[in-house]
Parts: sequence; structure tokens; C-alpha cells
Amino acid sequence: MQRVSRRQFIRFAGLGAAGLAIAACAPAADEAAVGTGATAEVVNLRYQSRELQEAEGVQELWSEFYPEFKANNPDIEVEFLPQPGGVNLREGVLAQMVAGDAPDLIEFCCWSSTFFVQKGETLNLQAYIDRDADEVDLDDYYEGQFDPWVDEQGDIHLMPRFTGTMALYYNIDMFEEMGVDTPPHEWGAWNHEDYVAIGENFVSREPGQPISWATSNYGMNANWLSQYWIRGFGANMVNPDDNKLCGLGEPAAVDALNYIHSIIWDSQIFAYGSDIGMGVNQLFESGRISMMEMGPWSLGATMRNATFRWDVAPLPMGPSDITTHQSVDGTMIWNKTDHPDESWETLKWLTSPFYGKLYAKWGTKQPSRISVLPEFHAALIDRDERFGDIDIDVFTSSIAASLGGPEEMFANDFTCKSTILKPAFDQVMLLNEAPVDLIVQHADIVNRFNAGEIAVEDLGAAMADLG
Amino acid sequence: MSTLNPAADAGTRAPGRRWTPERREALFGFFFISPWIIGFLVFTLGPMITSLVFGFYRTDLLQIWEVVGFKWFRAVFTDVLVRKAMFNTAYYAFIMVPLSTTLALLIAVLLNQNIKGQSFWRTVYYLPSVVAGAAVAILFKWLYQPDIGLLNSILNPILFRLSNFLSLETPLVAPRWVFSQEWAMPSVIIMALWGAGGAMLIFLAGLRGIPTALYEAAKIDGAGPVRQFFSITIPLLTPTILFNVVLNIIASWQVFTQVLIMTQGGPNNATLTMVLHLYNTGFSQFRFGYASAQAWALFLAILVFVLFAIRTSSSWVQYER
Amino acid sequence: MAENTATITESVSLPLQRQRHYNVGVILWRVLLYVVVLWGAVIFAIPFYWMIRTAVMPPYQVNLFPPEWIPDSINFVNFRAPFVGPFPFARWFGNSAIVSVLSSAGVVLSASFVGFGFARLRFPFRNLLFIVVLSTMMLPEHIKLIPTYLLFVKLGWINTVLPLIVPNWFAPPFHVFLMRQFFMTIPQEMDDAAKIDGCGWLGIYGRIHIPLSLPVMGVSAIYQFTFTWNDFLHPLVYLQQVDKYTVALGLRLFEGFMRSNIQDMMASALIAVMPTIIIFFIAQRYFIQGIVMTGVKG
Repeated sequence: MQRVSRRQFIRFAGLGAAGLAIAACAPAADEAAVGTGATAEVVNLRYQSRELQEAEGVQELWSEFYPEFKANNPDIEVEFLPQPGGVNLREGVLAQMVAGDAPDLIEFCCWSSTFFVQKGETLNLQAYIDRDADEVDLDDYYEGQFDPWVDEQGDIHLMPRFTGTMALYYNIDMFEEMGVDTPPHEWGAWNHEDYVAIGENFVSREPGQPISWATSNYGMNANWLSQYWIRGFGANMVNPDDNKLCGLGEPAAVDALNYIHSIIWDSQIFAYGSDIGMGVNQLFESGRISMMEMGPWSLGATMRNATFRWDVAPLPMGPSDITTHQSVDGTMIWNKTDHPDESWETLKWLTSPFYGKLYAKWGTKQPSRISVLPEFHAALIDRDERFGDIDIDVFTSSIAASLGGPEEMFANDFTCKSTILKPAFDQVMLLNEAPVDLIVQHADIVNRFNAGEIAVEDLGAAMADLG
Repeated sequence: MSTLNPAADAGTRAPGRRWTPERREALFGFFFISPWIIGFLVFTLGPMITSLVFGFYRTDLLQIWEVVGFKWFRAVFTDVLVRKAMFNTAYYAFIMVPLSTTLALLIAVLLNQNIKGQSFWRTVYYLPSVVAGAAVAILFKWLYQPDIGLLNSILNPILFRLSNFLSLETPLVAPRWVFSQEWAMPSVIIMALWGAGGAMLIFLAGLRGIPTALYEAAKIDGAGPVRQFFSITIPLLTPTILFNVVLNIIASWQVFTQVLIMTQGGPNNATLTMVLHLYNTGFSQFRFGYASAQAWALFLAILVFVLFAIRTSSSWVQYER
Repeated sequence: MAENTATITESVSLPLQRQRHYNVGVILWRVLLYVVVLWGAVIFAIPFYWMIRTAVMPPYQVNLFPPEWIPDSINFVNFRAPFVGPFPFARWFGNSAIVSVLSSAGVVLSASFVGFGFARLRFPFRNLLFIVVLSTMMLPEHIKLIPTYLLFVKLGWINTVLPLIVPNWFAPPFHVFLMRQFFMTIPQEMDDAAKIDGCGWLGIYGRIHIPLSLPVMGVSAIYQFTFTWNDFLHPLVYLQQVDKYTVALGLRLFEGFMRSNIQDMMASALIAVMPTIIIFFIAQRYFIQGIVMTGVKG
């Protein structure tokens, strides 16, 4: 164990030294590129990873991937930059973009990825994708994969890095102790009412005693975590045809919001606000909740920390649709890169089946390519044989069948979700101080804001007018 | 204050008297502060002016650059969200400045007594101000969790028994801390008070600077400990008090990390502070023009309070002269 | 050294020494003092204790309810992880040490110099300039972030430690203010005496103010060292390559690597701050008590 680590250490340090050497000659290389133009010199690319988890595996992954890449692309040098910033990634990248020295390839997650498309900083990949259609093979991805990354013409701007599916982790020991049947393992085989019925077995609330709930997620707020429930009811937070419109005023959406409110405040099966209290992982790992809505990115941590038997099942479906979410993680090429062709060549490699398999193996990331999905379970078992007992099919089958969808993004996504909708969700879901109708009224503010009827500096007044 | 009037100085200039002691002193004065002047011109002034210029644009710093004049500077005064953030920040600052300064002074005076193991105690009190940041905020989120957190796991059983004892119809329950609009800001303040050790350190250094001779003289005059505290310790500590008050005003009005990690400004904007709001406006909405205007409005607010503290200080701060 | 310590208690204990009986009031005061100091210390130590307790206790015990104060058993395995992982931890540590030491040195030298100028010399616009010094602290850091980044790009300092060190050699306002306030408490007569002895301004600064201000310089150095060591935002923006990272930055990489494990997180946070705590514990004896030895006994 320790010997392996030492080797990794040396390899990692070596990688750093290589990076140093590249940096030292980077300005010179730039000048050369400007001066000599077309000559076949080595092109230096910087690749800003967003990799936080399983960083150890990523070093292994890179050391297996890069020699193969180099052998096929002797003219391209790629410097791998890891990312300790978390949410601060945006500050750093923005500063670099303004200064004109942003990395050539940058990974983003969630709304940040859509955001830079909207800001016009991403390279339009459509021409490349069409040219290399055989290698890229858009049919090898689930249906909604590219929805968050298209511009107004429908051209694609990012390529996926991995695709995580939201599912339900459950504690087998707790189910057995309570004498409750564990959830079925087929998508669509149980629904939101069954969820409440099962959950109620685990809820206890006695005066002077701490409450125990049945389930939770990161915190159902004005974000993707409530979006998949809203879709299960046949509605959308963001109108699929017009990202300037909020769909929370639709009757089906109101039903969904009422359901979410009821599982938090009536049946109390759902521990709300774990995002600003204890983390949902801690609640689950400590046996305080018997189920958690979670993606495959927590498989490793749960295996490491859980002291009970556990498995994963599909999320319960809503009254009209399957309820799940496919994560939005992709890589963009900065459109001011000096080397768009080489960057695309690299990005193609980073989304190749070859890379997807390595990523599954070393990063335990669920592949985006449907053709690589079957390798995911084997890759996990390869890392830890206890994964043999976990029903990984639950995740992969949902992508193969194009269930669920990615996070729905507004135009002006942060303003709509965090500035306008979140205060309403806080008052309704977290504080139980206002009826669901308040969210509907805020949805209307979203529409008026996106239509230009309310200026950003007047949003506060518009929300205050609602009381 | 205004002992040196450069105009008057210029008026008295005579060819043979170019190096008066005053001129010499002024020259040396600029010589002494020259490192700051150079640093200010090279590292600080440029970015400050740049950020001010941003305020006259509608800009994301990337593609959009549209001159809007004073629009954002006017909007700062009418925007209800900015007003809310200003109010929250003022709430935090007006409680935090007196409370944490007093607490720090109190601890410093206690630890300045002749007690055993002073190094140990000082380190213990200083610790939380060093361990600040994400780890402590996460810890407090955990302590504050209203249903199963440490704090309420202690408070609630006590309140429950108390309610039974008093036969109250509705049992008393502990506050829901960061899950409540009323208690969210007090929760942040309570957490921030743990950082008083930093100011304590400076008070301790100030206390140690008070000449022993003064106390000895007071003893001979028959002054008791309380009298000595108020007529020697406090007056001689006033420069240090002013320092901590001013620094505390500047820091409190810019409270950011604690709220970002603990509450992200919620619930329902109850802990939305100015810096968090302008951070969101800038780095999340990419409205850097408006964010800059907000930053400069905050700058002016802080400047007013600091100037007020410094102006009034001449009546209560004693410098050796 | 203890006899030299100037405290109120000393005056209180004076009757004790004279009369040689136990004065009830004095004993009560001493008891009360220890009780208050002890309880205060307990309250202040809770977060730190909780971090240690969480880092060393067995995993099953971490999330129990009601929360448990005492670990069933103690293991330091979580503290090992950053060292045996694939990270160049020693290198980060070295980077942090270089940056922190050089920053502290720069702050102490430059701020003391400038602080003396503001405290002791009269020159045109002195008060206005001093307000400008203070005002540079009043504009939120985030709003200056991008303009400052652009500046350092122009200077070619990105991916070097220079942006973290060099500005600290030009008198940061916090420390200028601290020094100025301190110098202003030094009796004017001492300057006058030195002048009579033929000292110029540099002489007054070097022979009187520097020796007298050693303790406050110590405070300044400790402050800056701690700040630089723990700083996350600036290294994050200015350093992009792993081998240039500081500990505060690098451990975040590690934190992400074990994201949902609170034990590892607490352990790595403790590792990150430990050097600053140790340095404080050792250094404080000298800089806080130093004043008594240099003696403003005038």
C-alpha cells in the first residue's frame, strides 16, 4: 500500500516538474507560433481539470492515458492542471479569461458550463463534430446530454466528461430491522406515494427527542434537486422550449411543489436543508436516514464509510414520469485559444471510449458513452470487490434508456435560481412560513425579469411587493 | 492636525533658509513613508481606480462593455436587495464591533493578571482565530443543526424538562439557529466571536507597553485596583482600543467567508451581507459594473464610520506627547 | 521576569505581603480569576477540541446522536493520509514556509518604517495620507481581484510566489496602523533626549523606536505569518501548477479527494494550521513579555 503511494508520489512530482518545464518555455513557444505560423512545431496546451474527487486515481488515469495520446499526437503537449478551488474555480478562470491567458481546455460542472456558453467564451464545436462524426458519434450519448450546452442555433459547445445518474441509496440493515420491503430495482416500478409509505416507517418525532427522518438529498432548493421531482410530475422548472420562461406556475409543477412540501412538513420523511446542516452523506452513513437520493459519485465514499449493508435502487417515479437527473459535467475549449484544432484533437481524445474506460477504472466515474457503460460495474469491482454486491445497473440502465434529463438552465441562470427563486423556496420549504403559491409568484418575476420588464436593480422591490 | 500648512510654508520660503527644521522633517517624513507610497502607486491605486471605472459600465469584463454613466451608483440607493444587504451588514457590524472589542479587551486584561501558565491560556484563547475558515464554519453548521446538532441536543432536553417543571402548555424549544430568519444572523455573530483572540493579542501587547512605574506611583498615591484600571490602564490603552475598533469596523462591514460557507446568505436573504451580495452580483451574475458600484458604496459607508471613530477619538484617545 | 510583570494583581497582593495574613478578598479574587479564565478557555477550546475529537475518533462514533465528546479509541490514521497520498506535500510545506516567512519579514521591516513616519514626523497632508492608508483596506478584496490579476499578468508574476510576497514589502495598511498606534504611545521626551544627544531621525528610529517596538513587531509578524499561511484565495488565483501550491491550497485538493469524509477534512485542516499554532506558542513568550525586559521604565 505504502510502496504504491510512494511510486504515485514520485510520478506526481515528476508531472509537476514537467509542467514547470513547459511553463518556463511557454511564452517563447507563443512567440514562435505567431512568428512561424504553419510549421509543425510542438503545441503546448493547458487543460484545466475540475477533478477533485479520487485525485489519486486521476493521476493513474493520466499516466495511462497520456503516453497513448502522445504516441498518436506527437505535436501536442498537454499540461494537466488540477483544481482545488471548488466554487472559486469561476473566479480564477474569469480572471484568466480577462487577462487573455485562460487554459485552452476547461472543465465545468452544472450551471457554470452553460454560463460560459451564454457568455460567448466557448468554442463552437459543431463544425468539428460534423467533420469527425464517426469518432464523436453523438448517438453514443443519451438523448438530453447536450441540452445544456447548445447555443441559440443549436450548435454544441461542450463535450461531456462523465454522466452521473441520481438514484436512491438505501440501508438494507435498517429496512430489515423495521421489517420493511426494500425498494424495487426496476425504473418505474414504484412511485412517489410508495416512497412516502415506505418512508413513514422510519419517521419518529417525540417531544424532547431528536427527530429521525427517512430520506434526503443535498437540499431540494431552486435547483436540479427539485427539478427531477418536478419532471416526475410532468412539469419543468425551465420551459424546455424557451429558457426565459419559468414553468413553476403550471398546475403539474404546483402539484410537485406541494408534494415536496408535504414530504418535508407533513409526512416529514424528508430531512430538508441538509445542504446547510449536516451533509446528506453523513446522515446516511450514520444511519440517521435509511435512504438518500444520490449520484454514483458517492459510491466510493459510501463504500469506505458505511458500516452497514447497503444497495442502490431507482428513484421512485412521479405521477407522470420517471424521476431522475443526469449530471452536467463537460469540457469546453476557450474560444480565444491559439490552437483550436489541437484543442479539439485533445478534447476528442478526452471523450473517446478509450478515455471513458480509463475514467471508469481510475476515477470510478460513470461513463457518458453508452458503448462504455457495460464496463462501469467491472471497473468498480476492479477497485473494490465489494461493489459486486451493488446494483450498478440502476445507474447505467437509466442512461442507456435515456431516462431523466440534465439540469434545466435559465437564461441568466444564477439570477433566476438564486436571486429570485431561492428566497421563495426558503420561505416555503425550509421555513414553512409561506404557501407554495409564493413560489408561483416568484416564477412570474423570473418571466418578467427575463422579458426585460424588471431590471436587475428592481428585483428586490418586486419580490418585496409579494410580502 | 493642521500644524503644517504647505501654502504658508511656501510663503515663508527664503533663498538662504531652504533647510529649515520643518522642511527637513517633512522631507524625512516622506522618506519614511515612501515604501508605502511606492506600494500604493504600484499595487493598489491602479486596481482601485480600475474598479471604480468598471462602475460606469454595464460589463461582464468579457464581451459586454456599455457605458451607463452613474446608473449603477444611483441604483445602489434604490435597490431593495442592496438595502437589505446594507441593513444586514450594519446589524452584524453594530453588534460585532462593540461586542468583540469588549470581549477581546476583557480576555486580555484577565490574561495579563499574574496567573500561572500564561503561555498556555493565551494560546487557547488565540486558537480559534487561527483555525478560522471553512473547517470551523462546517463545524458550526454541525453544532447549529436545529434537530440533531450538538447545541440543541443540549438545549432541547433542558428546555423540555423546564417546560414540564413549569407545566407550560406549549413546551419551550431552542432556536432553529441558521434555519430561522431571526436567529441566522445571531448564529453567525456567535460563531464570529470565537475569533476575538486576534484582537486580544494586540490588546495584550498594548497592556504590556504600559510602564510599570505608573502603577507604582499610583500605589503610593493609594489608588486601588479598580481606580488604577480606569485611570491608568484604560487611558493608556486607548490608542490600542482605537486600533482594534477601526480594524473591527473595517472587517465587520466586509463580513463574507462566514456567511458564504454557513448560510450562503439565506434563509430568505436573512444573512445576505454586502460583500456576499456584490460577490454574487460580480462573480455569479457577471455584472461587474453594478458590483463595483456596490463595492464603492460600501467603501463610502465604511469610510464614514472610520472617520467618525477617528474624529471622535481625539476626545478619548490619549497619546504620549 | 514575573516580578517585572506590570499587573493590577501586584498592587492587590501588596497588603498580603505586608501583613502576612490571608486576606479573604484577595483569595476570593484569585479563585474567581482562575475560574473565569478556565471556563473561558473551555468555551474557546470547544471548536478546536471538536475538530481533534472528530479527526481521531473511530468512524462509527463520528455521527452518533447524541454527539459523543470522548472518543472510544484514538487513531491518527486520518492524519497520515495527506502524507502518503500522491501529493507533493513536503514541497507545499516548503512553499508555504518561504512565502510566509518572507511576507512576515517584509511586513515588519516596511510597516515599522512607514508607521514611524506617520507617528513621529510632521509633513504636509500627513493626516489625509493616513486616511488614504486606511481606506485601501475598505474596498472589498473581491472587487480588486481581477484588476490586480491583470497587473500581475503584466508584470509576468503569474505562477510565481511574487504576488504573494512582494506587496508585503511595501507596508500593508493594517501593519502601518498597528505600528503607528504603538509608536504614538512612546513618550515624546525620549525623542527629544535622543535629539539632544545628536541623533537624527534615522537614529531616533533605530536606537529608540525599533528596540521599544520589538514586541509589537512580533505581533505583526505572527499576524502576517498566520494570514499568509492560511490564505486560500490569493494562491488559488495566482498559482496554477501543483508544485507551486501552498499547504492551504494543496490540502483543499486533498479535501476534495476525500470530500464527504468529515474526519479527513478535520485532520487536514488541523495539519494545515498546526505550524502556525506551534510557532505562536513558542514565539508569544518572547514578544509579549519582551516589553518588560526592554522596559519603558523611563
